[in-house]
Amino acid sequence: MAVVMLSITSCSDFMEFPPAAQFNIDSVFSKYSNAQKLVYDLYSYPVPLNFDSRAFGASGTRMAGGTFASALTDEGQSFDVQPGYQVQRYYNGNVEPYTCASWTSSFKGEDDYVVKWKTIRKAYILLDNIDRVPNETFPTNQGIAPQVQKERIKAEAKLMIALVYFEMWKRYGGVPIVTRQFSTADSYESYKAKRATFEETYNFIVSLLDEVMTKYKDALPSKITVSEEFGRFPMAFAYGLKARVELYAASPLFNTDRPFSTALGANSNLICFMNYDKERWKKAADAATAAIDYAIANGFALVDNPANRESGENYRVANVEHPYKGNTELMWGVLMTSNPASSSSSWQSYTVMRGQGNPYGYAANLVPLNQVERYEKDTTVAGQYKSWDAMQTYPIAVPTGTTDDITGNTVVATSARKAYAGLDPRFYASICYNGMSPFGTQSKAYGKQSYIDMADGYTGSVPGTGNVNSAKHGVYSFGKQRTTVLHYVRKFTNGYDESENSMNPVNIYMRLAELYLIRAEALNEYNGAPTQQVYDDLNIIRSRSGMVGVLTGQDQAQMRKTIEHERNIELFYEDHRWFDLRRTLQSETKIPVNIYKVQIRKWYKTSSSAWPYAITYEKVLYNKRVWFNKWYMNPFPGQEIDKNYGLIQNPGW
Amino acid sequence: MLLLSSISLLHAQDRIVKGVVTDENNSPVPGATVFVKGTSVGTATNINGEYTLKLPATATSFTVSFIGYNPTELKYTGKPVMNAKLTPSAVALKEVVAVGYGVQKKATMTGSVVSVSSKDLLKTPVANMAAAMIGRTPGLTTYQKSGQPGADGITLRIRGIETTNGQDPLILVDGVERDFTQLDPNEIESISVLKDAASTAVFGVRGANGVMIVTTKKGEEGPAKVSITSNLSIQQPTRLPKMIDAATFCKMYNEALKNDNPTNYVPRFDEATIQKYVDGTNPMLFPNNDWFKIALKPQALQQQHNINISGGTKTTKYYTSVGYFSQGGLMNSYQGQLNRQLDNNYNYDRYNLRSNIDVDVTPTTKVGVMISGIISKANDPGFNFGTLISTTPISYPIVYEDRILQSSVNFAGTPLMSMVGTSMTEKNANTMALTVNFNQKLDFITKGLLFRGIASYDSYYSHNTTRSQGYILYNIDKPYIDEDGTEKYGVPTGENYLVTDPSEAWSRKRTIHAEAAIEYKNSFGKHNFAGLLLTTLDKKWYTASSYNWIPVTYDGVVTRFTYDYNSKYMLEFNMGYNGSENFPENKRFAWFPAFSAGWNVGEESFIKSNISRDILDKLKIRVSHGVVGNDQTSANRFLYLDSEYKTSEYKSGGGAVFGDATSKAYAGLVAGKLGNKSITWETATKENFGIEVSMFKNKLTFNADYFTSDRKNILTLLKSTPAHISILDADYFNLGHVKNHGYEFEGKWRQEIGKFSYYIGGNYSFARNKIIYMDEVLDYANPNRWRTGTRLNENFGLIANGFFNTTDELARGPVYGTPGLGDARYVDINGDGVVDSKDEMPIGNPEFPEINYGINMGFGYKGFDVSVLFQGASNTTKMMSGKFQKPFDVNGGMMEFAVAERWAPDNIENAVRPRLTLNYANPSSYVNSTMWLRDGSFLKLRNVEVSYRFNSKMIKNLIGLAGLRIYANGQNLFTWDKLKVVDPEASTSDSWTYPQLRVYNVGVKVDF
Repeated sequence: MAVVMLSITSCSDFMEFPPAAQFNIDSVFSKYSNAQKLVYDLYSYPVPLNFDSRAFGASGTRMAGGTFASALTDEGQSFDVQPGYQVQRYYNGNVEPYTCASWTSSFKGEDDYVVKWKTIRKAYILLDNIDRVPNETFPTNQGIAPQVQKERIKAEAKLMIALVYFEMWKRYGGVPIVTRQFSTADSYESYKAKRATFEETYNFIVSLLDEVMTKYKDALPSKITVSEEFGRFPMAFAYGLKARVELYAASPLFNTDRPFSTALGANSNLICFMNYDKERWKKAADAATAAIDYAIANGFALVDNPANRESGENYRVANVEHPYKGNTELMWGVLMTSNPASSSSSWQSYTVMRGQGNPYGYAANLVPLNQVERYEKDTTVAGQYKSWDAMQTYPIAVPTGTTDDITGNTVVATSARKAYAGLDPRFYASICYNGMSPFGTQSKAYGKQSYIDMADGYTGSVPGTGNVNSAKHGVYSFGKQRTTVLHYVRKFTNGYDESENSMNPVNIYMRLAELYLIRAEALNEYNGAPTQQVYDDLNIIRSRSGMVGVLTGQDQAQMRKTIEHERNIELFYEDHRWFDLRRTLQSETKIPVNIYKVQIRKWYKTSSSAWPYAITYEKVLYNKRVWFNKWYMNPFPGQEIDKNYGLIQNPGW
Repeated sequence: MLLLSSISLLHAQDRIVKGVVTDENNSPVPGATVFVKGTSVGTATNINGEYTLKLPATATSFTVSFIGYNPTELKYTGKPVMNAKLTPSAVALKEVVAVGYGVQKKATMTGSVVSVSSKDLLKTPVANMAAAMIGRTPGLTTYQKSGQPGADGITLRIRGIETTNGQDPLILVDGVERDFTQLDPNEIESISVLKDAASTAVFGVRGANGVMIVTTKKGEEGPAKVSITSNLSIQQPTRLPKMIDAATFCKMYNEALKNDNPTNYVPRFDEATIQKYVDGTNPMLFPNNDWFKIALKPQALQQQHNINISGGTKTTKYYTSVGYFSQGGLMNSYQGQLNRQLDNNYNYDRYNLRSNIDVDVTPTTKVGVMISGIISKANDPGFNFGTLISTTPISYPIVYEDRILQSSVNFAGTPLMSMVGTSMTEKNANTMALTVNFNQKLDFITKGLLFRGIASYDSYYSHNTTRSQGYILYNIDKPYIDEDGTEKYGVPTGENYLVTDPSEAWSRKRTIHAEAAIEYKNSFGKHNFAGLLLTTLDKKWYTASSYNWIPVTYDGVVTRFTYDYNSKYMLEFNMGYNGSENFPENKRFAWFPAFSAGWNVGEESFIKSNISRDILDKLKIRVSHGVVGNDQTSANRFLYLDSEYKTSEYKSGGGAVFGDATSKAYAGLVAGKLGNKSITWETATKENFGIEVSMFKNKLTFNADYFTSDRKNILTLLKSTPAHISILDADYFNLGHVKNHGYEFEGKWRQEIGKFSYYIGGNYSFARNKIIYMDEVLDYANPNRWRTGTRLNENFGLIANGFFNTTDELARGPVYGTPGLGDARYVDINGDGVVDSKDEMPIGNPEFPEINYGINMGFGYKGFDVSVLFQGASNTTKMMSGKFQKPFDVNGGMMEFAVAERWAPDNIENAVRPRLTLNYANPSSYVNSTMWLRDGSFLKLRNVEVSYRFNSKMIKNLIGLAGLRIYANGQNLFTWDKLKVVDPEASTSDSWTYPQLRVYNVGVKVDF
């Protein structure tokens, strides 16, 4: 009997198992062309960028609908769609941890906590295995030794871990430190990592960045020079990221012994340093200097063609164009290819006013009048602002008997544009406004209008009183049900193109300009008063956009406001303001404000008049934002807390 | 002991009586009890059936008894030799039941097994053999959601549900894993249901969900018997949902509009329009469609015919059978009226062939060859039955005269498009099964030793062809008045395309099974031993999306030892030792042992001497304990292997875009799920306690079983892994733990009074599970939401507590969503002042019924026989969803029952559902709650049969037939339930499918 039993244990011989041809991790790392695909995948949506790189609707689109975090602040406004969209939850105060930090099909949060950890795991898989790839399978055409190419991938993996940790740390504070890839063979107990303190997490990020900058200085290219590789990390980005990390570390939300909430008690070291150290500002300034010096020494430069300053073209190039078209200040960004989900309306939903279909102007990222008002109105005298409080009327004098649409419309548009005359050149490159000439030609097919017409038609002999004449509505006023505040973001996409599908916007993660602003802020805080370097750093940004230098003789507090303003204008809609206001503890005063829209009306004498005789702009209260102090930190997903492995939720959530 | 003491009390006047006890075949009966009634004097027969009794002087008679035989009393006449011949009792001693890898005597069985015989199976005029099992066996639950010809999927569950994985029992036909549902009922001898660990441990890994063993018929020695059966049936839907008519629809729709906007109410249908729908004088412009009548015929035909020939000589026996089954569909395909070339109707045709031959090659060698085939063709137009409940009575397109009219004026509906416009798939399939078995007696080595083996090969091939055909639509958006003053429809759109060339799809499967066994069976005095040692090998190749054509393999060893003492005390040990490809090498094989014991208490003299045999024939108790396993998850294989790395395109979320002047999306490689290197068996520890009683000369039989099952290490996808572990897509872990317990009763009373006989019986099963542990992400603040601690698949939802009837009530709240008057009010379970999803809790019962029962009765008089079967289920609830919840949703229709149920200012008292609305974006009333929960209990008159068997002598003389029987039977004849809306077994959601069927059948059976 026993013999039979024993013979049966060899019965496995009867069983057939999948052949080794099954594409497994060994196959992946058996040659470079396979491993390379893991490198590509490492860059697959590692951090919430403005433009989602993935197909619209499926798993992409931050906060649903493609809203950028800037639309949570007073510099932006999202369209008014379904109440379930996460951005609407921020507007009505109904943010809750179960939907805010995860991206399920119906609730896409501001952040996707799970994807971050997936990226970290991908990085560790590469780190653990890339050395297994046989050297002879590497391409030789660039003349780079395979070992160097391997080291470069390791550097990218480590930099990616640092980047993802930074993005978590700035949102959640301390998070579990993961230093390896886990496997199913690990015990469940070993899965139960606790949150590291805020400081431990900071140290982890900085040590990774330092390691990249020293150990891999010969492997990671300082700047991407091979065209096809654009989108991968250059070493300059490691420097730049460190400056940003140090800036956050020095900022009041974290650099303090008094956390914004005491709800965590002894665990408050999860959300701040629990001490104030002025030297952190010094570290930030030094890191910024190192980054600027490194970048400039390696071919990065602010886009600053003196001939293009007044027109705002320098600023446009820095925000829209690709390096091969002269954008020399992009330190890391991801290129968008043509519309990834070609059959659906991907880009249209982000910032672009749609030229096709209804409703015109359907876009997720709009600009309230609050931001329009913040552009200085004089390029030669700093600190002057146009007031929109009173209704503005601009007469239109279309010559009698004009029947040609182009001629007539040009006159109307010229008058309409007067409302925006003389602003900071960055305004025209950032915001889509009434009367603007569209980029591209398609709009002429719609009502033969050669400019963006957001105005509603009204009949009345005196501007300001009369009746709606919807037949005279501008093409772009029709979408106002969803886009009531009217101004749109032009910054990343030139505002409008006849074919959304052919646009290649850049997801800017970091531009050189930011580093000057970081240094200015850090020095002002460290020295107790603005030094000359502070003025220089601000003015180099302003001057390339044709703006006069900031007011001189400011004290520290005044300069603090000036720098915040400059970041608001220069880094408009680049995913900074929401986090800037948080780290400087200003959200509680600057988020719950009145949001204004503009009511633009064209006035016709009679309902049959061919052309309007006046155009009016009226500031109208749109809504009032809310703020809760618990919003200074993102909540961990409620589902994670419920797993009960010891993750401590942030205060108030 | 008793014997010993009686010896010590021997009296000098005792007389010695000797004799031999034989059975009906004159074979000696060892182990029979010989005793003197009312005394402690007795003995038992030896191996040759001989006894020697010392009869006390006072005794005038003594009794001989043996289990399974009627006790025989012998009068002492002074003869020293008294032989006794026993006659079998109604419960035959030799009655055997198919069990795993063999047969066992029912009398000495210790496991929990029930069996259904061919006679009962033949009463059910249905395509699917599983339907024939409904209500006939305790412990086996059947649940039929659809009646679609060729696809009337019936769910079979043995003793309820106890895992989150698949619960399908293992089904063997003639020892090989095969589908039995499409067999011809005439081919089947019996179906056994194996329920406890004692009976399923031999299947080890595959036994946890219970096992069904189907045995086909074999020939018997004798002249050729030819039997022809012919059945003709009419099928009807058991129950169809009733929709409201056009006029009611208009009124209800207006009411919904008014509810949604009381201040600015503008009716969609004015009185004049409604009147036109009432008048029905212009069905072209004001149609009043009853879509069920339009789409479904009132009945369809079905027929079944079988001819089988059986017989044999002493050495060669055969059974051959040819069957034909044809089931028509209920769809109205408009083939004639619209001149359609494709008959878009359901249809199922099946041919069953079988030839079972057994040959005694030598007196000790037997070879059996079974060949069977099933050839089937099913037509499947893929009609979307959901459209019938989601379309309004005034919807277009409609059929008018010989044309299809469409209009954009009223609610667009799709039933007609789904009837004529969808593709038509013809599904041809054939199954060939070959089984060879071999038996060699090895008595020359030692008596009772036997070698046997089975080898089988099954092949399955299916080929589907799909065709479609276009259609012409006449637009009546702008109907015009023709010269003759009548309204005419507009210009046609679309084309009556020719039927398209078929698109093809096919699939293949083949399986082999082999087993070899050594059996030993012998008796030593009253000690009866049997042993079995068997090895099995199964392989299944099939077309699959992953691991394609790598065969699924099982192999293992089975042993069984049975022992009984005098058929009174039974002990049994069963064990399976199996391996599964799903587990890593060191976890691949496992032992699944089971112990069981039985005791025929009724044979004990303390019972026999106190209770008359006339009262108690049999009292048996049995106990079993064992472990069985499960290795199956839903379609996943090789659970320990990492999944393949798969290319992920940029637009699906993998890879990224790189490049400057020319940017390009690069696909990424994404790791699949990680295999679990320590994954192993899911096990169920099962216990069973049974009692079998037979009384009043077998007029009353009664069995009861109590069982427990403890299912551990349930194979579950891990959900509670912290995000930072980020094992991309979790894999299976041994995590769940579910306990299941229940009981079953089965009883029957039967009596013969002269030529009249009758019986009444019933069975009752109850099974309840409890989730002890599952990998659940717990909402710690709200334990009411935990699935752990509840029953599997239990409904969760809010507790509805009436409606907001007044504005005061609305103001008081708490509210869910933004309700209006007539929306549901809920209970704030967690007491946090708001009603939200955190207030959900388990409500009602699981959908799968916990209680199932059957009642059967009948009588016979001379040639007449009548039998009736009722079947019922309770402890089941159904959640209404889709159109059952939301009238008018997505331009949908409304069911009639909702009219009386709805909340309306004049119907507050009777309201059980909220006010009508068109605004379903407001979830106030439209979440799972007790409001949408319905009791799914039912009792169905499942089967009635009336038959007459002609007197055999008479017909032999008159028409030369050996037998003639005519009968009429019916299936699903009547239903008592609380749901009322649709068949209680049907879905109450939009996935409502082909209706369950009622069948009226007449048949004749002729024997030559």
